[in-house]
Amino acid sequence: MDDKKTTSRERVMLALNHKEPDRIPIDLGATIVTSIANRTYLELEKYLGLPLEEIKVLDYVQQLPYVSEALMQRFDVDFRMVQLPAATTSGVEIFEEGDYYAFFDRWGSKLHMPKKAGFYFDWVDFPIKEPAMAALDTYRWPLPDPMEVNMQLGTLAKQLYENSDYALVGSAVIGGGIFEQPARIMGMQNFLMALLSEPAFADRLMETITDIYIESCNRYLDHVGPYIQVFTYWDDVAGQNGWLIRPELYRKMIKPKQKRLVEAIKKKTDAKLFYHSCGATRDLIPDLIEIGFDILNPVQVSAKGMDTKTLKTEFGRDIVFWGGGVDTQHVLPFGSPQEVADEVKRRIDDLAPGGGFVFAAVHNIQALVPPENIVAAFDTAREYGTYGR
Amino acid sequence: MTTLDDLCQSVIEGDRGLAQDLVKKAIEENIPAERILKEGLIRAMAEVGVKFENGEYFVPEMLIAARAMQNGLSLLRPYLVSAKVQAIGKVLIGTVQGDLHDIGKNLVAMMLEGAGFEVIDLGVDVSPEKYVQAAREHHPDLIACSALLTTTMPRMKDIIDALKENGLRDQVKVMIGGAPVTESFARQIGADACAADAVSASTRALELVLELKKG
Repeated sequence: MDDKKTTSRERVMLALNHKEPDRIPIDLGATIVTSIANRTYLELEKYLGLPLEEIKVLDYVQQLPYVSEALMQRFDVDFRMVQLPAATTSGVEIFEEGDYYAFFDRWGSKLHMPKKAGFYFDWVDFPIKEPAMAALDTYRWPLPDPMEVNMQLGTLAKQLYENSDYALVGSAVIGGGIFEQPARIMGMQNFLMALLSEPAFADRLMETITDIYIESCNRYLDHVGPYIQVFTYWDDVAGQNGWLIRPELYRKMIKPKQKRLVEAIKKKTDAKLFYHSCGATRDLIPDLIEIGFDILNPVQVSAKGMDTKTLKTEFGRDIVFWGGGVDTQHVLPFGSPQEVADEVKRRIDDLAPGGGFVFAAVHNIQALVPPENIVAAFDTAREYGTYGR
Repeated sequence: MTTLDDLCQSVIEGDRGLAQDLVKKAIEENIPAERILKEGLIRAMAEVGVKFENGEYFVPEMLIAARAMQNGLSLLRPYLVSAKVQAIGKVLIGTVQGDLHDIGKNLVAMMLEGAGFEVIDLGVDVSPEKYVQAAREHHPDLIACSALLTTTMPRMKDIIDALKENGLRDQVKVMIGGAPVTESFARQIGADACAADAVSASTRALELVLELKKG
């Protein structure tokens, strides 16, 4: 890179275009799937001696904060987020219900978090009880955020674009993915059964969700689109050992809707498209490439068939791996700092060659992860992640 | 095809209406309730398990098959009771404290029921005390604990410790499962087995209950 210092945005764009920058770009907190749980975040800030500020909640469901500028600078994070909380609106009201904290999301579903030993909110009561067309006729669909909100986000994005060197990341998907969200409106079991038993109902439900997302993305991208480099979408279609549903069913009923959303987004922005699905997603990758996604996250290295070396060889030319930097199911929470550092080096060796890799842990860093391990992960990524070592 | 073959097929295909009709038909044909259960419903769920392991069935197919099985079983249950047909074992199942995820637990419960167990489902966010209390009340052969999260996995050890403290550990087998759970974790906390999915959970449960009954 001659004598001119590479900026974060340049570094990210090189990596996302499958070229080697000066070092691997680093992410913590640019998306709602590469962040850190509130309580771990506070412990980490304390451990690092960073100024303690009041937490601004990004995601009530997963209990995520907007990560502070001080922490992002400490880890040399190359990204900044331009995004509102997805599942909820900012005015969400938490109330108590027996042994649980509770709230309603913007889709009218109720969530609970156990007061004792709880870590997340999870969906427990649903506005749609039966897979019947009549239920869709009377359902109160959520509205995308109003124009003023998107204009404010646009102003923030423009300001960050012009006055900082960071790569900007955003989204306007106001719920789960097209496959995930129905489960949050009618319950996962009922939705998975409806996919087979009531396909016309399931199809209409998902098409309407797609319409809402396209409208929401249009409104957002009209203001933010020119300034962001990455647009994030999430839709978990895999579990620990493979597809949650028959891949043919995904290709018939879900993929065309995801494609419709991708095409709408691409009309409004040149940002690279980021797809998050937990689990064993190896066999999904060709589908994602085909419909126009550029980036796969979180690369759940502990799931079946997710060997990072093999993935890089097979798909590294066509898709960027964003995540997979350190296993979050075993090593990060339960390993020693040295084991964490070794794991990070191994993943960098596998995924970094030729660019196309952004360092992040596999998914959000969970509660009970020791701060020492987090620091070991990010410091190793920063030191060992230099190209042309 | 006999009525029981048809019943078996209807469950495999997840046709709950047909499954109920065929259970009724089998009862009318005076087929013993135990045979309807074993050669109709249990045989079907075993086949569903094989299809899942072969990658032919996924979660939705399993769910609708299990729903059909349960619909048939609900009609058959009074006949099983009056014929004094014993379940092959009794299982207490739940998702551990702090964890509200239930689809994995529900699938395991359905497969266990489909394998002939009596299943008592304690739901989600189940404290160690609740497990102990339920174990006292129901005298299960097996306690099955589910956790999706690395953060809630440690509660599994609390359950085993609570069973020990209350002198119940020797009377039951304990099986754990969920995405982050491994064999080595199971050994470390003193569980008897770990299962990676609903089908292997049902296989392991059968083995554990046999071990327990042998003493």
